[in-house]
Amino acid sequence: MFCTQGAGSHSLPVSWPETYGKMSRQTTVDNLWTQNIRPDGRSPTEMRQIKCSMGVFDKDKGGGGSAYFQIGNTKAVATVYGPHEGRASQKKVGAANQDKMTVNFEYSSACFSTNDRKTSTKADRKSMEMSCRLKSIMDNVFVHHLSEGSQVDIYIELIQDDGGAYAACINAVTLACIDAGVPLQDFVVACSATMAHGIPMIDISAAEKSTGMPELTLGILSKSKEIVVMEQNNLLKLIYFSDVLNLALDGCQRMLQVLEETCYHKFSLLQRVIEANLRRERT
Amino acid sequence: MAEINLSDEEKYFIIVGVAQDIRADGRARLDYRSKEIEANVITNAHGSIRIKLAETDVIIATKVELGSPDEDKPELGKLEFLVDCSPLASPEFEGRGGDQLSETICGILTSSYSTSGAIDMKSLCIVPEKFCYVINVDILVLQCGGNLLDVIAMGCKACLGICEIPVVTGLRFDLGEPTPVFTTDEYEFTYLDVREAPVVVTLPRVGRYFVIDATIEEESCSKGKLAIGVTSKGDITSIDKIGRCCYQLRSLAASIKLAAKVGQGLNKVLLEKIESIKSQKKQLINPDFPEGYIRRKTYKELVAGVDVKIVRVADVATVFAEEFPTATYSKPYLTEKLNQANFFSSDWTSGED
Repeated sequence: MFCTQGAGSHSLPVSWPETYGKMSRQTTVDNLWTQNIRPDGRSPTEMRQIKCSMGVFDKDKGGGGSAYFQIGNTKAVATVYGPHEGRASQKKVGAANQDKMTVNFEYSSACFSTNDRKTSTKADRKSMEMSCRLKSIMDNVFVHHLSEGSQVDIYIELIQDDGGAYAACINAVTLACIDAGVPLQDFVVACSATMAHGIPMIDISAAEKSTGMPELTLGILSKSKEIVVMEQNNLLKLIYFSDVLNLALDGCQRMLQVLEETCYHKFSLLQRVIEANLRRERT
Repeated sequence: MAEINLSDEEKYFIIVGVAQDIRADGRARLDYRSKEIEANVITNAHGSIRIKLAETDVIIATKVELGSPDEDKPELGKLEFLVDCSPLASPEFEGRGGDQLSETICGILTSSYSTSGAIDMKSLCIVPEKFCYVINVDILVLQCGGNLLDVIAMGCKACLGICEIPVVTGLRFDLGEPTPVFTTDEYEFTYLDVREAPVVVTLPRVGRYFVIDATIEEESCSKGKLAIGVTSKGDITSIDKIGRCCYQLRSLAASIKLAAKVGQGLNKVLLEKIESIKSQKKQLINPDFPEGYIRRKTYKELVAGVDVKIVRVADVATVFAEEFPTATYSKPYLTEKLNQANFFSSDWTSGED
């Protein structure tokens, strides 16, 4: 079923069946491509609606932080505990590099996250791979010398996967780390892009991905514009590559704006609370 | 169970407070905290609920699948629970740390739902011995702030109540085997009847008194608890004792009576909530729709009886024509095509025996 959520000014005026009832679905989709409209009604450079928030769980134990990131129907929640003293088992592993912060990462996806139901709650290979990839990204971004020998636990849960889950996870983890006060060098922001019919498109959805379109996930550090994540699957012709890459970079910039706004909102609120408390103490 | 460490003084404060009927957050022993229920949070499930009770936060989603009934219960559908204690709730649940808790909760839910009256499992059967609906209830624990079991049971009842089960419009015959054809209309569904589905009331014993809706601090003060499944009529469907405390027979009887009373109230509130969610959904579909739209054609009406073989070719062709209204196929054309392709085995189409 086509989702019209997040469609902006370019969205179709009415839902699918009323207008296109007389035409077969495939023909209509082909017609749409010629008008630069994607199956869910977006234009090629239009992202789905983003909702994100920090501090979604009120945690008073362990000085943790948490964040929720939603783009379209892709939803991810991340929680960060720490930095705290390393656990005994982790200390042994980290003994060789005591000058570093130990990062403990666990990614899991909910049973109901995709259309095919996952039948067990145990970590499968896909989620273990995802944990490794996300861990290596965050390992590069942490400022290790500020909390040597300590440990950070990062847990991320993918509640629903509707395309662009990898990028959503990276953004959620960044926000959660900021909320927890783990020292980061910079924002890590990620965005996906794709290409079909010679048109580069931003923010791939699951419906598009299932038709075999390539998916390029790009993650950058916001200030230095260094690329920290780049991953692409499916066939993408080399002549189109730079176009898709530029679009993904543009997407990262827009994503950064959203994340910065969220942080600003959170911390201005925090500042107001602190000021109010100080005022109360004085009187 | 995710527990927190309390000092002896803190424990003393809580226990003495409970004895005086004033708990740490100002409630009396038999007060429930307010809960928030949000429906249809997961768009690719047949029904989903996010239920939040103070700090406890759970997402529950149901997915309906086609399966085959168990051999010893050929005329019943299936209901399966799966609890996932995410490490988001507590670092203890990392890796396989949450498995024990998940299995405990799963067991209690299964036992309280396995009574014959809880849910009409016969309505989940499509073709006896061959096909039935399998309803998978997946529970994701996002945050654990005490009274987890009650919250999960309430969420399950609400989620089953709003679960949209796609209607079977007819039977297709593959190699002579009947195979159900599901509707392609996403608004054509039925609801389960959950009026008699149980909720679970957990009664932890703090000091000498039972409390309901305990916080995580109160749970860590109690040695054990009783989990009691209660229906809306106040009947008990299951009793589980969790933990390592012992009860006197007299206090046990009193506590079960208490649970039945509390459970009845919870059931009433939940059913009201389910009805309001359903009516919202009905309005969302189309306010001008005739009343009976959702139940346009059920399996029973089509098949007219339990025996599968009574379906006529004409009926099946009607169903096909309804499924592809835009196609140019007329009914006779379709019937002819189906006959040509040997779609129906001859012995089935000729006779009704």
